[in-house]
Amino acid sequence: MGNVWMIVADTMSASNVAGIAVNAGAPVDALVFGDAKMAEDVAKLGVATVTRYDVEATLAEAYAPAIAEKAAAEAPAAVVLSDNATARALAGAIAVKAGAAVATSVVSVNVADGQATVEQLVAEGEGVQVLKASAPVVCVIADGGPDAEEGAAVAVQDGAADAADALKVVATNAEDEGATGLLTAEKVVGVGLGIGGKENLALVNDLADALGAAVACTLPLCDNYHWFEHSSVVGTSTQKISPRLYLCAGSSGAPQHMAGVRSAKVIVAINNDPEAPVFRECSYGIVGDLEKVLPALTAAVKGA
Amino acid sequence: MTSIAIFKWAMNPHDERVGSDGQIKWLAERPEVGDDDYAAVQVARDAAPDDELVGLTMASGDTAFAAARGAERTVALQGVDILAQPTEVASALANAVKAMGDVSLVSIGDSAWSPMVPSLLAAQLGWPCILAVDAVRPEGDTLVVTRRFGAGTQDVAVTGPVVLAVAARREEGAKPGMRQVLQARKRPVDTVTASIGDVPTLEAAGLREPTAQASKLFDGADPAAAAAQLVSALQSEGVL
Amino acid sequence: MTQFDIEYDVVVIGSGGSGKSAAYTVASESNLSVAIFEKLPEFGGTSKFAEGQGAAESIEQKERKVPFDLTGEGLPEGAHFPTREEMIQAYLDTSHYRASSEVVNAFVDNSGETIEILRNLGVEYEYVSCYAVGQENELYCFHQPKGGGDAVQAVLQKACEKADVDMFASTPAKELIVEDGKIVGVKVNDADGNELMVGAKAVILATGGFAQSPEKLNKYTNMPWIGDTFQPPIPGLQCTGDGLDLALSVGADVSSTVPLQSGASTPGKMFGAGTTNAGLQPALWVNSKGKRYVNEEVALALMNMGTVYCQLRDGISWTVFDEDYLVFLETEGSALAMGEFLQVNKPIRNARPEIEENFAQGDPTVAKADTIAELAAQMGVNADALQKTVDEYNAAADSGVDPRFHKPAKYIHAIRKAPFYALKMCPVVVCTCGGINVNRDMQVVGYDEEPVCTGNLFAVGNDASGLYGDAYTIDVPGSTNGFAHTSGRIAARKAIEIIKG
Repeated sequence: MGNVWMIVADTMSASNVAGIAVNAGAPVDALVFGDAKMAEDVAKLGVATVTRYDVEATLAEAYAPAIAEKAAAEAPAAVVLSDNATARALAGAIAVKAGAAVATSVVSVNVADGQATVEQLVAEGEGVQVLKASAPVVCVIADGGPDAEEGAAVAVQDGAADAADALKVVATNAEDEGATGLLTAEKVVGVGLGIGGKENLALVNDLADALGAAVACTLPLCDNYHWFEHSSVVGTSTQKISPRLYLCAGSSGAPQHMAGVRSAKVIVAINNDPEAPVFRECSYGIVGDLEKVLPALTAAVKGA
Repeated sequence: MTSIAIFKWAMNPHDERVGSDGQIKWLAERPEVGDDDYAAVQVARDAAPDDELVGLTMASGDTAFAAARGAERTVALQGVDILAQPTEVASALANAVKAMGDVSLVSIGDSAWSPMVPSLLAAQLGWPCILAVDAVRPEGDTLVVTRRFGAGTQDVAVTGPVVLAVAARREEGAKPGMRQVLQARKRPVDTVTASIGDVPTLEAAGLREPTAQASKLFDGADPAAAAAQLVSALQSEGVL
Repeated sequence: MTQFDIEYDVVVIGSGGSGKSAAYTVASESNLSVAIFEKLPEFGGTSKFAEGQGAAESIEQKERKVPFDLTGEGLPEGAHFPTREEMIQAYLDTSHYRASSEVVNAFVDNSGETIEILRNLGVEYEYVSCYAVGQENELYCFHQPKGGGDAVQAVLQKACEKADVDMFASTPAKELIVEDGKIVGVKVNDADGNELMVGAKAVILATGGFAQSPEKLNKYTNMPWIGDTFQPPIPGLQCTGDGLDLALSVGADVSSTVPLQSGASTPGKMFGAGTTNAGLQPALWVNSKGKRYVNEEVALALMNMGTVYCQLRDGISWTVFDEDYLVFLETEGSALAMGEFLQVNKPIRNARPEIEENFAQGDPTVAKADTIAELAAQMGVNADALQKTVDEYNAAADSGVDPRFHKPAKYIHAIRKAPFYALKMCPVVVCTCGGINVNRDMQVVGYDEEPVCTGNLFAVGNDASGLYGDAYTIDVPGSTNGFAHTSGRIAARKAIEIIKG
């Protein structure tokens, strides 16, 4: 009772989820729906216990009713997760069975005397709202939070839970090699006039390959330099895209171009001018010489 | 049998502001059409082409969105406060679904505007749910649901009623023409007062300024270090 | 009696700044029903590419009190926000009273309110100043919104959606429906090709002029070659004079000297391109005969430069300079300002790389050679003529006097150091500004200057004539976009008045 649960169903966000959970002031029980490596990594994040549920033979979502029962029985004060689809599916079941309220865009959780106080971002980050729970609370964390510190690993326990048979995996399909068309690409690298000479396009292509990303450009690189076809241009009068990641190199962030990529989940900019307008539109950026930064980034991505 | 496609149910967070009085205020008065809404209607149609397709919305004004895309009738829920929490929104939707009788499937946009409502809705109905759905195809008694999974997709076979949260990959292709829209407006719309159960909520206890964010710009003077920091940040965002 | 598929009180044709302003006014200032019909798949029109709005005595000007200093080196003495009278007089003076006093007064008197309305809807104004620094006599009436025209149109569109304005894209208007001399509606085609009859008590034409119709350009601008020589700088727009056609069908009076908002550019490129930035400079300009044709200082008055280019019968001009001048552009910078693309004295860095790249690609708009004769050969102009022109130009550079066109010495740079460059330029027509004659309420009028039909047909924005004479008024920056938003509101208010009776 009164512990904090964290639900992990993907490797990427575990550290951020732990960053919030582990600082809540109560022991953290991590429930991992993934392979042994995922669980081992979570075990180092300062949690009290790690329970791994096997998802090779069973769909994670199929565990939802059983996990929900477990939550009702163990009554954690808070359940913390990222916006990962599987985690959210499990958390919805938990919330209803355990009688929990729900908050999203959460930046902190604090448990005292078994009750949680939660802070969430509102008004697109303009403010932080404090919310008090009188029952358990399910918290989807906001993007871009702090990572948990790594420490000594706790032992990973095998979880056993009944799986509902309404859901069964039929096939798992790897990423389609040919699906890097701009409109549907999950990751896109954009190039602007600041790229410099044509030889630097190779650096951009290397990074795009390492990321598995499609390549887009601003209008002048097509119309003025003829380095790209019209089908690669994104902007107001051309195409609008909404990838999960848009990384633009050498674009100052002109409104006509940014209007084409504003729906991207995460925008990253690389530019050597710290005053460039693009830095006001991006989630992350590197201020530096792209001839040096691009190769370093390609290496870092490959090694990740 | 009935399939339900939920549309225009979430408030656009872009309209949320902190007022000069330190309270949250909304510039909009009602939910907006979401980017995924058209895909949710498409999935409901594809999943059960022989079912009666009903649109369900929490909006006022133009409620013909689902009808213009194949729904035979629409139910419009009134009275849900724009400040309603996810548990309350899900409860209003769940009660509306329960009131419709023999429902085999509910589809809804997997919206970043309100990411917990689809799974809360499913749990309140006592049904399983699958999120981040791309497409569906019926195969006999089961429904094969393709959903995003890691960098690729996964096909899941579902038997029985289910909530599907659909994540559109692109903008709607051929929008309904005016004739189709006008015909859709003639289809029945039942305006119903929403019924919200006794669900847990959080008590708002004040607003504060956000703490100054750690700089999200990395200094490229040391390219390798900056690259490492960026990659780490992108990994935790889940976009790498 | 026509059977209508649907009836509205007000029908607006076109979804740019003027159309949305009209529709939003109807929706927010009355309980009348209104719909917008847009023929393109996206809403927004030319206004998405506009920069800012011109206005006098706006709330922004009252709050700011002094114009923003664009150069950072101090405002010229006497710089001030214009009064309405000054703005009105600027239109009348520069058009030599060919502008319509009715239209000019109606616009200027209402221009300030436009700024306040847009601001209340969420537009943020970054600064209020002039536009082309260095162009004397320019009024400080230009309001630059954050995010440019795109941001303003997004705000307006959202406002229309929230106010329940029906908006149909891919739905062009084809004909006015007239019964017993009364306009009772509009025939439209929907996205699937169905013909629909839409009833209306008032129709507002907001179709953005006819810059994408070479035939109409030749016919209505008193420059019957321009349709064949210009290029449109903005891809994707389709202003082909739909409003003009509809108005003519009910006996509207139209102008034969419609002004153009024009400029010059490298063929095939948009403003801001390196070759355009260099090509616009007041260096040596020669026509296809290798001859100088104007005092190139006109470059500092952008719209006048556009007018000059539009008068080139074959639309061909070459900007000729030498290596020293290219270095000068890279160090001392531009002689002219052009919004975000060029600032006075700001070094032009993107010209050389683009020139080199295009030349290497064999692009025919860039000529580069070590002799004038070779340059002429690449340009396709007579080598003797070009040499003669260059010699005369160099003599002017040496003496500091230009006997042919009286260009000030500071703009005359000798052409002696190889390599020599010639950049091909052409006229660019951004939009047409007028066509249908209207009165002070933006009602379409006939030859007798009375409203056509029962006065329920309006023309706004670039569809309406009267703000200018035969040329865009260069001294009032932001005219077109300011007029678009203001005229839409004026027409809507009159429509509301007429319908309510």
